[in-house]
Amino acid sequence: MKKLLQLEWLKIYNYKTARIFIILYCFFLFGLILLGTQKFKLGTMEVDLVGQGIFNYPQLWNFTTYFTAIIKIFLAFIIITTVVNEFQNRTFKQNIIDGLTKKEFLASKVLTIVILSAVSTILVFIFSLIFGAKYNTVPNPEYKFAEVGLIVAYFFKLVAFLMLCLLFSILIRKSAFTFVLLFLWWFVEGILGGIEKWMRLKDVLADDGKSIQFVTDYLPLSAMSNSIPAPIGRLNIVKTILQPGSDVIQRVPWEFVLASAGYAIVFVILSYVILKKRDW
Amino acid sequence: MFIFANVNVGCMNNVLEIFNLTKRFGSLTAVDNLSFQVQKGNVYGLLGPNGSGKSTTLGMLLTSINPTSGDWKWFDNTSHEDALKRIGATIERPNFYPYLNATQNLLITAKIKGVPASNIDKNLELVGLLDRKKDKFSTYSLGMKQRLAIASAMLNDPEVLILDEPTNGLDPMGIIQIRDIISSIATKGTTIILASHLLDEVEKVCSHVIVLRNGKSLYSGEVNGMTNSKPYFELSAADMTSLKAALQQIGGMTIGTQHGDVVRVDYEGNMTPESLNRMLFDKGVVLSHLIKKKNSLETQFLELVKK
Repeated sequence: MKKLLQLEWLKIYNYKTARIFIILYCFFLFGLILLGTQKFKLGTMEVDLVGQGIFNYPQLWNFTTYFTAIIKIFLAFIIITTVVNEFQNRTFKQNIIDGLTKKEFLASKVLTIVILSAVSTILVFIFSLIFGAKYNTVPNPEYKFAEVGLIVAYFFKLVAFLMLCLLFSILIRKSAFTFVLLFLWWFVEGILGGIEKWMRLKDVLADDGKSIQFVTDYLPLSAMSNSIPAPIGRLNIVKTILQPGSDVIQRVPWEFVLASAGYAIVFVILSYVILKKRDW
Repeated sequence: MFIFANVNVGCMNNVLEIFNLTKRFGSLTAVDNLSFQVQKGNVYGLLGPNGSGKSTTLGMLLTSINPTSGDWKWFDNTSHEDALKRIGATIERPNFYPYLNATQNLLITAKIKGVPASNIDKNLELVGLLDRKKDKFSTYSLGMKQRLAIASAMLNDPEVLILDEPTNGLDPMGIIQIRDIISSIATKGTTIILASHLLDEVEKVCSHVIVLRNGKSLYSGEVNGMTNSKPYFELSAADMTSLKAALQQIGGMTIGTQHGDVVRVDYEGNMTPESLNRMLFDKGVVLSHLIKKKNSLETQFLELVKK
């Protein structure tokens, strides 16, 4: 494993594009959370996100993980370009000929993904603690870490998404088309989800749309997305209008987290099958 | 004094044995039931026109292409993947990380092969790239890239060196440099398999050849044994008519084609250039040109492929 890490370090550390993107990513991660502390005008309305309670415990975890997950596209870019480069420069073939097994090659990429995701998760955790300490407006928060499980969800959400990027990169071997396929996949999932919801409209109406489960919610990108519920309903303004006094604790949707982790494993296995079966 | 003889005991010296190797791409059979052996310490030319299956064969031996059927055995039955650590190989085009310099690229190879980084400079020196080691691969000329590929393949002091078209696309200077490097490696006793479609290249460095056509092996063995053609003479004299007349008088001589004022003469039995010269001089013919020649690899190859 040490060998694989050294290899990846040599390959990525000296790759300027990857280095710039990693720095940009960390910068944006911090900047995005920092943005939440700023008061800004939206038309005539003054927006004060701190006043809206985004840094209040325990929902802080929901806000930070949900919004920082959006810029995982930077990490996706790093994974896709570095993996596609291995095929474009035919260094994958040379690695194999030099004696690296296909399993080791894949393992080195999986390690990179796990480490990048872990670093991102740790950063989000630390930033959350820092900003929470400074901007939390709830006195003596009782449930400070009640939703910290969302950090775990964040990790698996990232890992699953990047494994999908890895699989598509190995399948397509062209970065632009890999992004196109990702987008198409996302689009198709959206359409399937829409179809299912439309077809089961009467169940939804009968059930208030609360406890009903949709099969399409478990499609890969949907499962990843559902691992961290959207926290918009937890802004103070929404709470007062829609659900007065609803200070519930957000349950971590472990069923979706587990599904994402399952998908991550499936993507790795499929990647291995492609590497093994194809002639290089 | 003891003399350690290098006894050639059948398969004892085989570093590679290939059994009925076949690769089909759809309806195309790129490699067709190929079998041959490679013995330790020899330089093999894998010869054949473009598309004859050379690269596919090497690709399978190097585990980058999955064979349709058949198998092969490296060394003493080492697993295919472990064997790669004892082999060095370059493929058609040099493949490196363009944004890394020579040292960094070879560091990756060293990590994969599990050899110390101290091997790097030694091999860069072997191919004459030591003074460019801090330059990015993307700034290299094709000749330098090919030489870096050889340095990379030599990093683990391989028992077998596989070179696939190492002089492809190079200028004459580059070709000579590569050829010199190959020759110097060969003198160290490394077994070399050199795939090429350039016949004179193979002729200059190889002791053995494997001739492929349409994925089938036409010949496998020593270069000299490829066809049982005999040596011949090339002769020239001021008076070609009397030269030919004298040759007919000697007997056992077949006068062949004449190019310019040089005529090819095949003969029966044994004859040295000295004795021929003396006989012709006795008959009053003074030669201006006399060479005893063997069929070039090219002629032999064409003869073989024509069959």
